[in-house]
Amino acid sequence: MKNLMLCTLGLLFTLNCLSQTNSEKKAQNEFMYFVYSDGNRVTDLSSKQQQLHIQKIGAYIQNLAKTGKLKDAEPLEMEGVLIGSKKGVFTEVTLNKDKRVISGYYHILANDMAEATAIAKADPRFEEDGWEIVIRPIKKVNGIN
Amino acid sequence: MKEFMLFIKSEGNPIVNFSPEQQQEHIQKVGGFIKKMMESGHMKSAQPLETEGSIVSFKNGKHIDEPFNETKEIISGYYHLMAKDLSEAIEIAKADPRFEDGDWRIEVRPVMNVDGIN
Repeated sequence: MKNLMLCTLGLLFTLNCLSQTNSEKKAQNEFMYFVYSDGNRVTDLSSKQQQLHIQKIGAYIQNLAKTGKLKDAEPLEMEGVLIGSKKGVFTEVTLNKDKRVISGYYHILANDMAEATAIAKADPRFEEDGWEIVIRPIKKVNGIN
Repeated sequence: MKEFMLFIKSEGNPIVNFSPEQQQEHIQKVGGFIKKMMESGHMKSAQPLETEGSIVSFKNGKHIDEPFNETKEIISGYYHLMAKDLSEAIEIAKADPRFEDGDWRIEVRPVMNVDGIN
């Protein structure tokens, strides 16, 4: 009888934990952070400064992953192509990598825009000049995501 | 296979003046394209974005926090692709049926491999 009660309590505890985890998951919204810079800010740094920059950003990303806030993060090459279409004819324009470009992105889980903004502000890249992060909520569309 | 990010850009919402049926047809076409690319192993992820947002920057020792109020060209969604090279990524982008429905632009960008980051 005592064992049965212990088992029941254990089961209730597990179910409670699971339902809390589910409600925590439900509260999380998805955000894309587009990291903008004027040209490649990192190549302007000395090799020592570049290494330090990578270490700081790497640690920030690791911490986001550990706390369950990170879905994805990638730096981007500076080159790229912009594709357009007018009346069925495609155009291809090479990007000007010396202008304001997206140099990387984060895919973040946060409760709301306020938390997403606080996470962005903690990015150690802001210890250097010339960075901007545009935060955009991911939209839920039936049939797409 | 290499990784590419494709940023889908538009001025406003090109399908805003479509009838509900046409909008549904557009979503079905784009959804079908995404499904096909996922099944062929060319797409890792695809997400549309809300039009609002926030901009964080840092100037004179403090963070600046502004609303995202872009009225011209904005990123309305993205694809995370796998392709053998930039040419194949461009060909995949051109196959997106959204180009049949209004003015869209797609920026194709290779993901950079950096030790300690990805």
